[in-house]
Amino acid sequence: MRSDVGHVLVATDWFVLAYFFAINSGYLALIALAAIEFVRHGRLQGALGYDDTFVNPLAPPVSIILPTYNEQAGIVTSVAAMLALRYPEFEVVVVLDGCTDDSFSVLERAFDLIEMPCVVVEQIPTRVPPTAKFVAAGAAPLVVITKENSGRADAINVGINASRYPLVCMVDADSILDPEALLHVAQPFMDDPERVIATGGVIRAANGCRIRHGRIMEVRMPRPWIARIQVMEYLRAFLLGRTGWSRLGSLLIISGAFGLFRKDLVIEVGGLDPTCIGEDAELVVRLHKAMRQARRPYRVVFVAEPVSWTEVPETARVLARQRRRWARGLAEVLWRHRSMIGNPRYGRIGLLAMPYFVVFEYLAPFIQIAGLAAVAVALALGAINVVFGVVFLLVALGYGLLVSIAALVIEELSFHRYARWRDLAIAVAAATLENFGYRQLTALWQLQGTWAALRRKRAVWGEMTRTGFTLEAPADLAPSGGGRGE
Amino acid sequence: MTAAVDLVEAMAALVAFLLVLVVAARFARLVRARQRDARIAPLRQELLAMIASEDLAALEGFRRLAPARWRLFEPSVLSLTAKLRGESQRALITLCCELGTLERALSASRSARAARRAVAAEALGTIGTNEAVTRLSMLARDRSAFVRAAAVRALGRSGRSAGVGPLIAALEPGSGVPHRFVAQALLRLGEPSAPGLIAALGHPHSEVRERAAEILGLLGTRSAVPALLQACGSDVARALRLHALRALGRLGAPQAFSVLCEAAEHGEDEDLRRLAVQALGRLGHLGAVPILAAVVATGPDRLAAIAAESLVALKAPGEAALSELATSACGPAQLHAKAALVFAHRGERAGAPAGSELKAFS
Amino acid sequence: MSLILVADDDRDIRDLVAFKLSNAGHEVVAVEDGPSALGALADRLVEVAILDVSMPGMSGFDVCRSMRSEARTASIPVLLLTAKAQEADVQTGFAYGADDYIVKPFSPRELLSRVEAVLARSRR
Repeated sequence: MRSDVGHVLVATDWFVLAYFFAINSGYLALIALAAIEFVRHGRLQGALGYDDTFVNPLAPPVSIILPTYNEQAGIVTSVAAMLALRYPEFEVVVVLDGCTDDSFSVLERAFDLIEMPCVVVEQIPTRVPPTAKFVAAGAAPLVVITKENSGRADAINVGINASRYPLVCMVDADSILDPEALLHVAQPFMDDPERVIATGGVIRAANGCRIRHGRIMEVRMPRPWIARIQVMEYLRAFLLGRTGWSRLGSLLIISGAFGLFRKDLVIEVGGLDPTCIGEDAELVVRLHKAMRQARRPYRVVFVAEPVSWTEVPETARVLARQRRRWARGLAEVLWRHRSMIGNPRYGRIGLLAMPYFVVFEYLAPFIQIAGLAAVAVALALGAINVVFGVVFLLVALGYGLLVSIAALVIEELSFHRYARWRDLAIAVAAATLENFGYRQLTALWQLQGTWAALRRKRAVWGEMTRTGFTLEAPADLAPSGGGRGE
Repeated sequence: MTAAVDLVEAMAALVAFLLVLVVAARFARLVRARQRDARIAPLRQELLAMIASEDLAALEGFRRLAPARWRLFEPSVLSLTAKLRGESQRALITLCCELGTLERALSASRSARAARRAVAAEALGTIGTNEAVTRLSMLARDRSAFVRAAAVRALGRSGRSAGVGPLIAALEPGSGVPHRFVAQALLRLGEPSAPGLIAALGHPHSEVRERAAEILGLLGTRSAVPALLQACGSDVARALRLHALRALGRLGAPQAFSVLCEAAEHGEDEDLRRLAVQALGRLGHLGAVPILAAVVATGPDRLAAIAAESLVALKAPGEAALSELATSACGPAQLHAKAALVFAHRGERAGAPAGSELKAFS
Repeated sequence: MSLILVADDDRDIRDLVAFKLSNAGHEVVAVEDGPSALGALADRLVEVAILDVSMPGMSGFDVCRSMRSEARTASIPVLLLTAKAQEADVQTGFAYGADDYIVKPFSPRELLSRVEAVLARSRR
């Protein structure tokens, strides 16, 4: 009896060991792919023609959709910064999603808004119609729409219905965009106009950076370790992971904090789904699905240049909520589109990207936590020896550290945004510390999120939408006017 | 046990190796940048002062620069040259040619590495001599998409009419160059592109015809009007008519009035009518007022909104028609008319001028 | 001898314009973004402002507009410096109250003569 349990434990431990090995190797492979991409890109610096795009009268005009909920402190800075982006022709559509604070009046004062009769052509069905529409006096291409609260996804849909231009850019009000951001993410639409249907920009952590007038002036590491670890995490997962997926032609997630889409296709697939928590990822999966089903050639491209910066949570409480929400969103997206998983009809998406997400993202927290427990129990019972325990730790944590440092090498060779030597040391320390507590805690939070998704599968979808958005920009982290940063 | 120790050691060694790599990469980059700055900064000051004082004879000093030092300086000179026009630009180009920049770019343009060829194309475009343009027209058919795009942009910046032919060839489907880059290059070349583009309205490929019409509209060449009017004929393919209508509107050609009215009233689809309605607004012919007013009153939503904007563009008579609609019409037509009027007068409101808040940040 | 403000985020252009204008006997304040341009305008008695349209933080259009909205700076002539030469952009510039427009790439000599023309007009 005792030995049976021992066998099962040993088998479990070997399985978990192999799993950790595979997950880290997968990351390393994505990072290698990203490295190839960056080397190619780096050599072309100076021959990419962004300045040309800036003055090209034929560059496709963009409508920036900015849904916002009670962010009066930072809204004027955000909008002013977006209006000052470098791009030939664009408009900013701010959707006030039932704000109960002074968002509207601060915008009205800053931009001298005047009311327009509101004629809505409902190209995407929405839950709530706009209550009023305003434009800026003067030539600033700003439209402000007010409506009753119905959640971020629905607010974006309302914004899309009110937008004029063929490309729509979805941004978060608390994102800080690089002045060149639109030029960078629109470039793939210029390079390959027939096929590119969506592009996503990289998200980096704004904490600790020197910020003036809604612009990043100097990139620095944040102070709290919890944010420092996230900087490394974002580097590894968002920058390199997504660049790798994009190179494989299987990018599944475009972050809601900065993505550019062809409006006609977004309308065709019905816009964002307000019943879904991970609405941005869900839209991209739905676009993949529609294009594959119609057998139309298409590309979803990730743009690696640092273009969008966001405040990451600095307290465990807020971080926990964010991670639960992410996990829940992922679980819902995978569940909703489960028919695509492993389905050869959807090509690389069905056979590679979706299964990867199921095995290495969706199941990861289960295996991580169960695995740790199994190893601990096995060690205690003497079913495995100390050598196995050490090897296990190495593969699970040491290999993870190796992957993080590899990511750091690539960042240093390509963008090298963290200019100070001490930031480099902090990055290495953060990558090490990440293994002791942080990884395990985030796994636990993800598990909770996934559990919530499982339990509520048949529950009313809509109820979570509002919390979703406030979670992303809790009051204590929201940008606070001109006083932020300095 | 030893196996585990070995593994620990191997892992630690790998991590240490990567750490050394990060530090070495940063150190090398910083040293290189500092060296370059130290060697270039005085040259840059000298060059800028010379250009500013138009003491172009003083460029003589640069001719005696050590080749290695010049090569370090070369990218800065090229990027400065691209920002200038007139005599100072010509002087810099001469200097570059004399110091071998042109030859180096020409030989780099035959490199096996696409990135070198693309960078060379940019340099050739800045220099813009006959040889450079000839080479660029070959690079526009390079096997790498990046090089082709760079060559097309460079042809546009070269300012040489010899670039028109290769650029129009690059409009053909299958040339593998995004058409917006080609269009921009042709627009940069300006008036000299017009004859080639007008001829391209009769090109065997429909895509070339459509894009030529589009570019002619942006170029603002009045001599293109007869050819574009022909391209609006009812026997012409729909896509070309669309582009030709838009181009005529952009050109503001009075001869196009009747064609545009016809298309605005009876165009067979909404896109065609929309373009015609927009074009009528730009044309400025007051005869369009009743036609546009009718579109506002009866047209489908998006078309009606655009017709209202076009009426605003027709100044007082257009606005009078809108005011009439705003009071007498009902439903969406009234809203469109009101919206257009509010938008037209948005700048006239008294009170705090917009932007006052922006100042608060400074 | 006049005090001229140059605001452009491109260092080459900023330095070149500064050299050119100081050679012609003017005093130059060079800044690299919109907010600093407004700061300089508040601190000194600028006689002409040369503004790049696309600058980080605040565009030349915005600087121009906020100059026009304040009595002290409302009558300072503004030259916009831009890479965008489309008709619509030129119109926007004038709508914001600019006095003249210089398209990049530019000729330093032409820039100087335009600056002096604007100066002469404003003194009349």
